Amino acid sequence: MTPVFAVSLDALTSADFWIGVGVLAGTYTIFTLGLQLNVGFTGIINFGQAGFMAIGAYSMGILVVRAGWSLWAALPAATAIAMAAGVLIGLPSLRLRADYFAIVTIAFAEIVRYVAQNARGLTGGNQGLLGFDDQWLDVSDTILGWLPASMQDQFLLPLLIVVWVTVAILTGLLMLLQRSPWGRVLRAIREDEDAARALGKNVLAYKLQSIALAAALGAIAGYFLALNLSFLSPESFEPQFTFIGFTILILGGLANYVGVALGSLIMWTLLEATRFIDLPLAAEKVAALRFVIVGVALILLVAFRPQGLLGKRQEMVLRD
Amino acid sequence: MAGAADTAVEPAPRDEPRGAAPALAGLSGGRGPLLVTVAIVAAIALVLIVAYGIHDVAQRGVNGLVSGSYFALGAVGLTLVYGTLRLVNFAHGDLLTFGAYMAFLANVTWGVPIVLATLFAVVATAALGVLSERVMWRPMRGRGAGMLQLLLMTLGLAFVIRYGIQMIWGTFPRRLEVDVTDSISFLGLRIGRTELIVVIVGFVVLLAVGLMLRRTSLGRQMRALSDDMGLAEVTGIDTDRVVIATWIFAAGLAGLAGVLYTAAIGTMTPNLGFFLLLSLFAAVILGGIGNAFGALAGGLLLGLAQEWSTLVIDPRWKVAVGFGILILVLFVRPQGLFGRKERTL
Amino acid sequence: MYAGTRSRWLLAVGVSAVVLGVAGCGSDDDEGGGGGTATTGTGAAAEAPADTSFDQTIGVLLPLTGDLSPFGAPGRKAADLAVAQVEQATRAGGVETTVSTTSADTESSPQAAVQAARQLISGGATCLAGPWASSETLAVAESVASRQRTPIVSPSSTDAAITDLDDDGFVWRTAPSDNLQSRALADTVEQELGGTDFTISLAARNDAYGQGFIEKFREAWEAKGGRTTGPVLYDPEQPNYNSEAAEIVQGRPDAYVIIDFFETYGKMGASLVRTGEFDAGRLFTADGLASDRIPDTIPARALIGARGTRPGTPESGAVVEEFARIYREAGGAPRQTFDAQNFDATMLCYLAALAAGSTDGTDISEQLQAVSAPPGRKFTFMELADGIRMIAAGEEVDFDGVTGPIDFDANGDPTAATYEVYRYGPDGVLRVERQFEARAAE
Repeated sequence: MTPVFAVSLDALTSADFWIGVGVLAGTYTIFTLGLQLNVGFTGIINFGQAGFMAIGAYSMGILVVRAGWSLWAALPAATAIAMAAGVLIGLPSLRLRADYFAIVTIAFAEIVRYVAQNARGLTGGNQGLLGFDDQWLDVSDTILGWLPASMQDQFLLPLLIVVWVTVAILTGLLMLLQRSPWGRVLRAIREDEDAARALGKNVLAYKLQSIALAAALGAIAGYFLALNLSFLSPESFEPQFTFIGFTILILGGLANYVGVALGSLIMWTLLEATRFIDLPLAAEKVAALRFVIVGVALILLVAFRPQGLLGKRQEMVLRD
Repeated sequence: MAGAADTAVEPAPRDEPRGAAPALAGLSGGRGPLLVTVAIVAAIALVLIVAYGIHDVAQRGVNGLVSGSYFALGAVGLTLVYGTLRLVNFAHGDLLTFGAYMAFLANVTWGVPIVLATLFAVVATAALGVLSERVMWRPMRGRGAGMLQLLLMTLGLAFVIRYGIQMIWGTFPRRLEVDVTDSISFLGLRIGRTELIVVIVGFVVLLAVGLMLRRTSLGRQMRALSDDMGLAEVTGIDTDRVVIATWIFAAGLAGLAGVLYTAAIGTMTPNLGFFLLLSLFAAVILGGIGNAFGALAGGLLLGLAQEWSTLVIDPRWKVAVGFGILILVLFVRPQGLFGRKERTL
Repeated sequence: MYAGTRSRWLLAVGVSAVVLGVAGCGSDDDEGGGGGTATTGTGAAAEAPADTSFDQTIGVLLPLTGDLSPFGAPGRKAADLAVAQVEQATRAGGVETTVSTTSADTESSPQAAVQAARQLISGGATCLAGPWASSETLAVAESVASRQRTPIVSPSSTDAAITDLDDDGFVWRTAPSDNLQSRALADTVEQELGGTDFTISLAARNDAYGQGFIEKFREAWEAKGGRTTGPVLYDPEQPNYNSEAAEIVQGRPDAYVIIDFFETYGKMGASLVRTGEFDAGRLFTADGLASDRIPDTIPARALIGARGTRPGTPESGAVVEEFARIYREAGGAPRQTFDAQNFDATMLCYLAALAAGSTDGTDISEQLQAVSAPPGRKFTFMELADGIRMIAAGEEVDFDGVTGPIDFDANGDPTAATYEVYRYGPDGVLRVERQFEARAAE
């Protein structure tokens, strides 16, 4: 047989491809920064990040479309709603064991998705929610106007720029926060909760703050997802996306904020570039192969480089 | 459901020493939780009967029993692996899918009768479980991998199994050579003939597993491992053998659950197990993780709750209702219904 | 929705995008004439004999993984069949165009669909067949099609909301809107039952297709003075369908209307039969459950005797049979709902490009309505070579698909659809009982 494996690289050299990957990678960087704060720095396994993302994105969409708010007022309000949801779910469930907490947060995220699907009057249900991004598109046009003429046709460029500026700011803020006394307490909780408690720290309050901040980060990622698609529907918030977030987290390395961006870029380049695999197989089988590759990569990574690309081995302290 | 709040009045179980693991099988928490749970379920049933009539409540209860038996069969394997190996296995749902497709291979492609095809599926899935133990989990335990690390590997394995199946069999729905439409009527209640077989097989198998865990020396050794693997090794238990046995039971039961589910519901696609997985986790945790009896009870409760909820609210919420109940129960009883109290975070 | 100034501005960007795209992309699409394409971007339709020597890449967006994955492989096959038909006919029709397809997986998710669409476009596709789920189409329409000046022709998105999209004419579909078919079904039920003084139990798959359709049907039926119960909405993957089935048959309704695909109905149908009260002879359904014969994954008793509507063509007998024949002879994936719609969508991408004499997205978009709708000589894929010859000669044509006359309106919806009323016989074979034409209101 002649060579059966071929990857067309034409598309990989196009700017459109990389801008698209960049927007997704940036969005998921913000999403995973929240996981990093929870998992890497506080030691709580939050599997409900897709739920917080959905709450943020839908709150924003509902406030704009149904309540007629300005997008700029809706964004902080929706962030506050997501943080409140984080406290609400964290308050009773942070008492649980780590593994129970993980499952409870998934269950919570699934309930959020069912509400998005079935509370039609509010969320648009299966038909989705449209028309929340007019104000953003004006801003996007303005930014595009500032760019050199040769870039005018890249309509996603403004979103790419705003996403990555946000990533940079949030990563910087989180790193500062981590060096603050607050961050040191979080790390102490992760290392030894009882010791932190013995020092008179209110462990639950710190954990709640960690969850609320992660929820806010999830919500911000949700806004970028929504602006990228111009459309919100329940399918965008399946648990699969939290799993991808965890893969990015491990790829970049636990307890390292810069690693998140790196992991996200690699993950989305891998996910999107594998679309171009061309095999003499039925299309559905090639599509399945992409995910087999992702699965194998995840297994090998965890087995042979559990600290990820930028993590340190001594930070892998998550025990059961 | 509102009645769940009543568990609050139930006396807290004895405080176990810190770090004590839940024992596999058995009513370790005493009879209290069981009685309270039964009482609450009975009270809810009574309220529903008054509101909707005995026939509808009983019929939905039968429906709940059917889904409860798949949940329980799937959940017992999940909880065995968790209890013995401390592995939160996100690939467990895909073991169900694997079992269903193995049965399809034998039953439809090769033309083997369904009973033999089911046995083949159970053996093949058990073999896959043992293979994963040898290739992945044992080496990883040897390196002292943490819970999160192992959990993420199971996510990777889940992708490999599910999409590997899709690569071979595609996404078109498949069915087994069983009659899914025949039904039996008894006291005005209806149950599919295949569904009835599924419920009976499910319960007999679960009972046998429960007895095995309590009565046989293998069962005792599995429980010893779940308490403390290091200690079990020191006391001369052949841990390797027990771990392999755990995988044979867990994966074999998952394969069986996958076949029975497909036989009763009618068709399978490669997403089958993934969609059931969260319900299986809910059943496991509802009952208390690592507790085989709890998984059985959790599965049944989840099935009943989902189906009874369709009397009260729109059925499209029923899966969400299951998750809601899980969260409610954990708020009241953080260790699950039949789990022992442990150190909390 | 958006201000007018914005649309004009986007148009300007679109035109410059064409110039830059051709100039900057180099190796792949260097067929010259880039400047010419740009100037005709907003210009008049091609009256003169068209340029018949282009290489066209048609992008095919398919749900190969995820919830809708059972539709992916048959859809891919239908698109390939369309291209094979075109290749045969171009030789006979005396034009020198070449056509190829590239496909991408939309994973049944709006986000992945947007990503897949962008990638197909950056790989050189200028007309996209797909995506399939209405949610995918809405997302791709808003964030790709109109912004990148590339038409999309969805084979299966029937959500009524797609009609009202502000898409600058880049969003088309070969499946009629639920608005149309739900009214057609209501008319059919009225005729079959001989009146509207009946109670109908409603149920549907809980997705954009099922839920959208059943709500429209309920409005139509209640407007006629009929009564309804439900709708019972169920998810494609749930542990049990028995309680839902019990609710559907509760109260002995006069008829049932269930909107579903085979994938889910295999499970729901089994549960309905098990209730012992379900009579498929009183079931009405739609295109989602239409197939030459009842597939073996569906319990026959859940469909035998059931009636339904599906889009057809006046001469559909021959065209539908011919499509079924080439589909069967090609081997591979079995028939699936909406495969023929994807065949038509792919073919329209080519015919519109031929009429435009260009593979530019804007040009194709401008011709889609012209080639699909009157005035013009009618032809089907069985007379494809003649059709191609007529288009190449600059004549007006009206392509009729396997799925119906199509006749796109200005919103990109098939206006007129001819509907067939079908019924599954005791042998499980679908028979068409009659046909009628339905037109979009106003």
